[in-house]
Amino acid sequence: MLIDADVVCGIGAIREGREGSFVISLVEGTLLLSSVTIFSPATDATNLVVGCFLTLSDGLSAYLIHADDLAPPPCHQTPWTTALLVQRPTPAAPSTGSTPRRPSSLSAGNASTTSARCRPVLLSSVRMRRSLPPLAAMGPPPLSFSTKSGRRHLFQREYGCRQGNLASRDYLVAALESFYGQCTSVPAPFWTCSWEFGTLEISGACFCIPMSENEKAIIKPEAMKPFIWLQCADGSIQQVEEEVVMFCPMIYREILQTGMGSSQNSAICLPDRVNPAILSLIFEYCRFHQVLGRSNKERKSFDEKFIRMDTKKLCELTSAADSLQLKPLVDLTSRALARMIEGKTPEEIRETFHLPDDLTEEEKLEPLKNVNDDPRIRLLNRLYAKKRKELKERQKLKDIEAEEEKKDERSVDEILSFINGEEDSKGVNAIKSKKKNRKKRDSHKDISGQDSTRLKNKKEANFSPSASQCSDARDNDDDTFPSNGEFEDGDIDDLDPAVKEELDREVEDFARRLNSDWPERMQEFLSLGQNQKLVPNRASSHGSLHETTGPIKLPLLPNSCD
Amino acid sequence: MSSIVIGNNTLDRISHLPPNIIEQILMRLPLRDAIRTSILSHDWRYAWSSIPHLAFSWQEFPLSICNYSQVNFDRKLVDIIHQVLLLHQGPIHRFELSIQLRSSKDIDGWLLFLSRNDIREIILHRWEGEVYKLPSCLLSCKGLRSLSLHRCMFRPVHFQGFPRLASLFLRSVAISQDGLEALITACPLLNKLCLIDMFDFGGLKVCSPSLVNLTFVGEHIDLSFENVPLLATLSVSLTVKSDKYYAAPGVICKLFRILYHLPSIKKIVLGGQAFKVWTYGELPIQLPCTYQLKHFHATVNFKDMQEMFAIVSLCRSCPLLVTLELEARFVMPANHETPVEKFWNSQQSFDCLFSQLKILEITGVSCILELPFLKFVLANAPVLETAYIGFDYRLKTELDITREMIKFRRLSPAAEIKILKRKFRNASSMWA
Repeated sequence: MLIDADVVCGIGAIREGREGSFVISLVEGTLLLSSVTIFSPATDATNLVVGCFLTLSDGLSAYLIHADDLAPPPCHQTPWTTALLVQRPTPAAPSTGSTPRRPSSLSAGNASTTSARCRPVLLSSVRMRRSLPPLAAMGPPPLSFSTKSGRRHLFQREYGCRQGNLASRDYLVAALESFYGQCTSVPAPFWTCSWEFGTLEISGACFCIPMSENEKAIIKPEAMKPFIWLQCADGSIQQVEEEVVMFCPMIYREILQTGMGSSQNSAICLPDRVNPAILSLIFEYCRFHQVLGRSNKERKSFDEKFIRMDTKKLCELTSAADSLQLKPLVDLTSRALARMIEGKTPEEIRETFHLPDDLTEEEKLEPLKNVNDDPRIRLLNRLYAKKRKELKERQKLKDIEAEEEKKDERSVDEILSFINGEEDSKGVNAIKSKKKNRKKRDSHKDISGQDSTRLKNKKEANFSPSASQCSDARDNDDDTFPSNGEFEDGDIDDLDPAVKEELDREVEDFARRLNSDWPERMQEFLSLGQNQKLVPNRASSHGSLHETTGPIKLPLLPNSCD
Repeated sequence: MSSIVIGNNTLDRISHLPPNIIEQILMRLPLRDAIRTSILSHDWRYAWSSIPHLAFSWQEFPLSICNYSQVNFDRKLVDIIHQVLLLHQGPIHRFELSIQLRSSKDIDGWLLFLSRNDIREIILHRWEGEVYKLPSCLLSCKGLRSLSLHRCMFRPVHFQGFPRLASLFLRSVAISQDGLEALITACPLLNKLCLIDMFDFGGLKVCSPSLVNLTFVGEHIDLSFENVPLLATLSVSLTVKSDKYYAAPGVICKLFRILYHLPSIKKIVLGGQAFKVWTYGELPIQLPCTYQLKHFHATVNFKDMQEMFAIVSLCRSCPLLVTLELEARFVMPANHETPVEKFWNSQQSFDCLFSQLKILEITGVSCILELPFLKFVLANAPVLETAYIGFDYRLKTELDITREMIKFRRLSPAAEIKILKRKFRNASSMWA
C-alpha cells in the first residue's frame, strides 16, 4: 500500500526551506494533493508552490510538480495535477538491499549515496485539470525542466506508467537515465528549487518508486478539484468543490476539527434548515464570492441579481444562511426582506408574505394608535365602524334593556367618579354625554377638543401598562364586541375616529359587564380601595380577578391632563 | 377584511425565522415601519419591541403629520415616544432624538429610562424651542460610547467622566470652559471630539491622552494643546469677529507652536480664517521638523506675503507631506501690487521640499496671482502625480490662466494637471 490512511496531512519542508502544509487524500484510487499553502514571509510567494517534497508512509516520499508549471508565477490554489513520486533512499545503506521490491531501476539509481544520481521520474499523472481525454488518447502537456548542469529536458507524459505497469516504468527510467546528466545531491528532505519562467530546475536526489495498485489513476476527463461531501437533513448527499465549501465558516470549521467530508461515507451533516435546493443557491453565492479577483461593483451587481427571488425562497435562504453562519449572505437577505417591508401598508405586507390576519380589530388599534394613525388606518376604522353598524342593526331586536343599562351606568359612573377622584369626572361626563348621543341618534353634542384629547391621553396611558395582558383577554371577546350597539361613524366629526371607536367599544364593554354581575362587582370595587388598579371582572366567561382590562380612568401620568 | 387564517400556515415563512434574523430585518427598517409591523399578525405583535436602536428623526416624523401644528405635533410625539419606550423590552443601545419637538419637559424622563437600559449612544439634536438642560441622570450612563448634542445645556458637576465614551459631538452646547476641559480629560477612551459653534468662552485647553480626531468650528478662541500624544487629525475652522489677532511681538506664530505639541499629527485642515490667524506673528528660524504630517489642507490668501512665507516654512518643516490642498480665499484686490511673482522666483528649492508630495490641489483660483505658487511646486516636486486646479466661480474665463499654466516646467515626469469641474459656488471640499 502506498498510503496507509485516506487522508494524510502534514507539514513538509517545501521549496527552499520554507514550511508549508498540505493535504493528500486518496480518493477512488487517485492521489490528491490539495490545500497546499506555504508559510512564507514574501508576499508574492504565498500559495506559490512549485515543488514540494513530502513524506508519506512506508518511507515513501513524493515530489510533486505542478502540471501548469509553464505558466508564470504566481500560481493559485489549484490542485496539483502531477505527482512525481519518488522514494527516499535509505541514507545509511549504500546497497540496494533496502529496496528489494524495486528492481533494476533503483539499484541503478541508488548506486551510492555519495554520488546519488537524480532521476526525476514522472510516474503517474494524477488528475488533469483541464478537461482532456485520458492520457492514452492524446499526449499530455509537456513538462520541461533543466538540471543543474543547465540542460533542459523535455519529456512527455506518455512515458508515465498509466497502468501501473512495472515494465513500462522501467523503460521510462531507463530512458530517462540516458537523458540526464549528473545532478548534485542535496541532503533530504530539502530540495532547492529555483523557478524560472517556464522551466523548473530540480536539483537533488530523485528516485523511482514502485507504483502500487492504488496508483492506477483513472484519469477523469472533467475538471477535477477536491470535493467535499455534504449531507442534508433529508439524507441526500452531494459533493461540492472544496474551495466553494470553504467559504462557509461552519463547514470549514467542521472539516478542520473532525476531518470529515472527504468521502461519501464521512459526509458532513448540515443543519436542519438547509435543504438541497437552497444549498445549491448558497453554493452559487459562495462560488461567485470566493474568487478573490472580483471588484466591488461586480459583487454588488451579482448580489442584486441574486436576491431576486420570491419571498418564500428568500426566507428559506436567510434561515439556511443563518444556520451555516454565512454572515454576508444573512446581511444581504435581511436587507432584501427589509426593503420588501419598508413603506408598504400592512395589507400589502401581509399579502407579500402570506401572513395570517389574526389580530382583532381592537388589537390593531392599540396601543400605538398614534404611530399607526395614518389615513389608511383611519379608513380601516371607518370600515370597521360600518361593519359594526350593520351587525348592530341586526341585533337591534335583542337590545331590549337599553333603558336599564342607561340607568345602571349612570349610577355606576357616579360611584366610579367618586372612587377615582375629581379628575375623571369630566371624562366620565363625556362618556355620559356620548351615551346620550347614542340614545338620541339624531343630534350630537359638541364635545370639545380639550376633552377628547384628555380622553385620548388617558386612554393611551391606560392601555400601555396593560397592553400585553389585554391581548389575551380580548381575543375571547372578539365575537361579542361587534354585537353591541355602536355609534355611527361620522356623527361626531371633531373627534379622531380611532378615539371614537375606543369610546364606543369601552362603552359597550362596560355596559355588557355591568349587565351580568352588577351587585357582586360593586362589592369588589368598594373593597379594593383607591390605590390599586380597579379591575372589573370579566363577564361570566372568566371568573378570576387577574385578567385586566383598563377602561377605568386612572390618573396615571400627571401631565396627561392639561 | 377577510382573514387568511389557515390552521397550520405553511405559506408564512418569514414569521418563523429565528428571532435574531427578525431583529436584523426590523433594525434595517425606519422606526415607524418597524413599529407598524406590530399589526401584521400575532407573531409580529411584539417583534419590534426588542430592537436595540430607536431613532426618532425628523425624516420619519416630520411636522407635516400633524398638519404643521406644533402643539399637536408635540403632544402626539411625546405620546408616541412614551408608548414606544414603555412597550420596549430589553436594552436600548442607540437612541436618537433629532426632531422638531418644542417642549422639552419629557426628555428628562426618557433619559432616565435610557440610563437604566444600557444605553450606548445618544443623539439629542434640538431644532426648536429653548435650550435643553441635560439632567444629571445622563452622567450616570456608564456604558455610553457616543454622545451627540445640539443646542443643549450641560453642566457636569463633580463628574468622573464617561468611562467608555469614544466619540463626543457638541454643537451649540452651553458648557463652561472648565467643565468641557474636565470632561475631555476625564474620559479615558475619548477618541473623537467635535465642537461646533460652542457658546463662547475664552479659550480651550485640550488635554486628552487618547484623542485621535479633533474638529473645531467656531469663533476664534485660544486653542491650546497640552497632552495629546495620539492626535492624528486636526480640523479647525475659525471665524474672526474682531480684528485683534493676539499678535504679541516676538511670539512665534501659533501654527508652529502647535506643531510642537502634536507628535502624531497626520492631517491638518484649517478652514475659514484659521490659517491667517495662526500664522500671525513671527515665523520661527529653527523650523520644527514634523515627520508625520502627511496631509495639509488650508484656506489661504495667496496675496498675503506672511501667509505665503508660512506655507513655505511649513512645507520645509514637513518633508513627508503627501497631499497639499489650498483653497484661495477671495480677497478684494488691493491697490498696491503685491510682489508675488518676485517672491516665488526668489524662493530657492530646499533639499526635502515637496519630496513626497503626490497630490496638490488649488481651488478658488481667480487671478494669476495664485499661479506662481503652482509654478513653484511643479518645479520642485519630484514625485508629484496630480495637480488639481479649481477655478473660482466668479472668474469670467479660464483660458488665460490655463494658457499660462501649460507653460510651467514640471520636475516630475508623471505630473498631470487636472482642471476640476466648475461648481456653482465655491464648495469647500474640506468639510464634506
